[in-house]
Amino acid sequence: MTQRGRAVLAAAVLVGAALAVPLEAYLKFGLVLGNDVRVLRQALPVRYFVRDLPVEGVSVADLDTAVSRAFDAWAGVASATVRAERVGLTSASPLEEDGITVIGFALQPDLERTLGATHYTIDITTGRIVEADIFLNSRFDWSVAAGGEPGRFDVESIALHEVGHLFGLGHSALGETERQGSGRRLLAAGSVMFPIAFPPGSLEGRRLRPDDVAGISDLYPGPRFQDETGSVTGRVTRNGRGMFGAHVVAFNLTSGRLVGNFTLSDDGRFAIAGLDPGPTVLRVEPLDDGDVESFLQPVTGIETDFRVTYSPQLVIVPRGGSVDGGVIEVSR
Amino acid sequence: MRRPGAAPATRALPLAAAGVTVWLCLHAPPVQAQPGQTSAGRPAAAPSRAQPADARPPRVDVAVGVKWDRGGDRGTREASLTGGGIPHGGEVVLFRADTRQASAAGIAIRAGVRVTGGLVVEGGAFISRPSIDTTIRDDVEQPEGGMSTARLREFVFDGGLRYEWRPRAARLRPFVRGSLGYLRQLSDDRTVVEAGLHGEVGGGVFVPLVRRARGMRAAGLRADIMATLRRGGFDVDDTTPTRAGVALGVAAFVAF
Repeated sequence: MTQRGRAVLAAAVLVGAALAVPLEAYLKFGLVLGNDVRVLRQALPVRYFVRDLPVEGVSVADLDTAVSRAFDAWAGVASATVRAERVGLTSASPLEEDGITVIGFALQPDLERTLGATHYTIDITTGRIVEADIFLNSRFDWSVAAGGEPGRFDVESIALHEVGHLFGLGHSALGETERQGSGRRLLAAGSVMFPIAFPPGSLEGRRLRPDDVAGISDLYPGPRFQDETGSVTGRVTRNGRGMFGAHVVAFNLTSGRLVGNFTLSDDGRFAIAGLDPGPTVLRVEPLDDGDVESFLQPVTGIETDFRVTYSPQLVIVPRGGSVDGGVIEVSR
Repeated sequence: MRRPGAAPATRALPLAAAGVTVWLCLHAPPVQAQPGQTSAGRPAAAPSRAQPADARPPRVDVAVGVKWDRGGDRGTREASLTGGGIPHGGEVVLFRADTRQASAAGIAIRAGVRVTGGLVVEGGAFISRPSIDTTIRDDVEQPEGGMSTARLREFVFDGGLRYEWRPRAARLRPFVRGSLGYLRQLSDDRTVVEAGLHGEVGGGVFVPLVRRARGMRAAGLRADIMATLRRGGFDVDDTTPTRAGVALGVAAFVAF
């Protein structure tokens, strides 16, 4: 196993360990260092290279522009402070461990269902992110066409999702799917960070949703983020026992915005930050629209055989504060 | 226009006027008949020009009672995801949420000062604990939907005009009134405040039950029925900013 392999594995395992403790809000990657749990957070600005490898239909300049737009979209979130800096082109592969952050195409023929992925290399003694590479799998057909291109995945959309990971966001479960063969077909999504992509030809993945904005702002809060938004905490139980891994969605009745998170402890506690102030409905659903392991690890003990349940309490989220959403009891 | 025998006309001395009125009440003979009649039941001579002192309209009235606000619709919102169409997917509704403010009864206080004839300047306050109820429907995964409720604290402070009639032979004093005021709604934990405007147009009736007792000119019941208009407060649909409703009130009043 290479050093890089160890680092990536460490990151994956440690994410699961970190998620076993309640994080304050949103699904973030975590890192266990000794007895401490640290949220994985990039040093800003993120300096990245673009791989100078074209694929059919996408030149290096096209890739460069699409990746730049993806970073700009995240950097454009007014309530967050993320920034990135393009260093230049490189011939280095995003699959190599070389100490630099590289984004580009790479052929991964064995990954039949993976359009792209983000790999961290982490110094597990300090928790520092050494590099975070993104590869777009060139076994698929790609496009950068402004109007989309049937049969081809949109580079900017997939880059936007992966850059979210690069900044430290986990997957959102804000979406609906149906089973299709051995995989799943997306019906609808409410977050760029939903793990299942829009179909080839779609451009919907180019636009950040409120769920994404809440997540990135929670991770890299701007100076007014905590004063202008609110949060809700609560518990999800079944037969009085706390549930780990339930998906909780907050729906603001005034703005119509949806933001989700998970119960992240064995006693079923959840916290959702970055909410618009005002009356908010809480909806609890099982993690049944994707592979559980794509959201949370460890996957053992996560129950998905309960019905969608609404909190009997309509919570009124305060500006700059938090409200207790009470206990939401779910049942089969 | 003031009638003979009415309280002093100067508006600069309302307390003095009230004092005179009270004094007259205390020293007038017991009321045995309706305004416009003598105590012997004979028709009063030219009552419109020279009513006895007890027929004069009260200068000040105060009412404390219960008001019931019917509440009403506060808007519908759709929780939408983005569909997987090509190149753009449109909206896919995850669920719909209909929100209404439930009817609620609360404590209402009103006070009026007669300025001339039947015209009264009136102000009041209304305190209640309504709930906001959100009904969930059309959930893509859970057709039974659900209900979420939040309790509020509501305060209305308003001012306006009231016009009263004093039918000569009638025991009742009907009125019409209109007011405009400040609406303040707080979440139950008082961490969120929403403000707005609250207007009322309606009418009602005073039913005097006791006259000239213990320094009062009259005491009895007051009933109101009002059409309400409000803008602001907890409302989820900003495309319909003004909400209409109905309210009823019953109060005990005293007049001086």
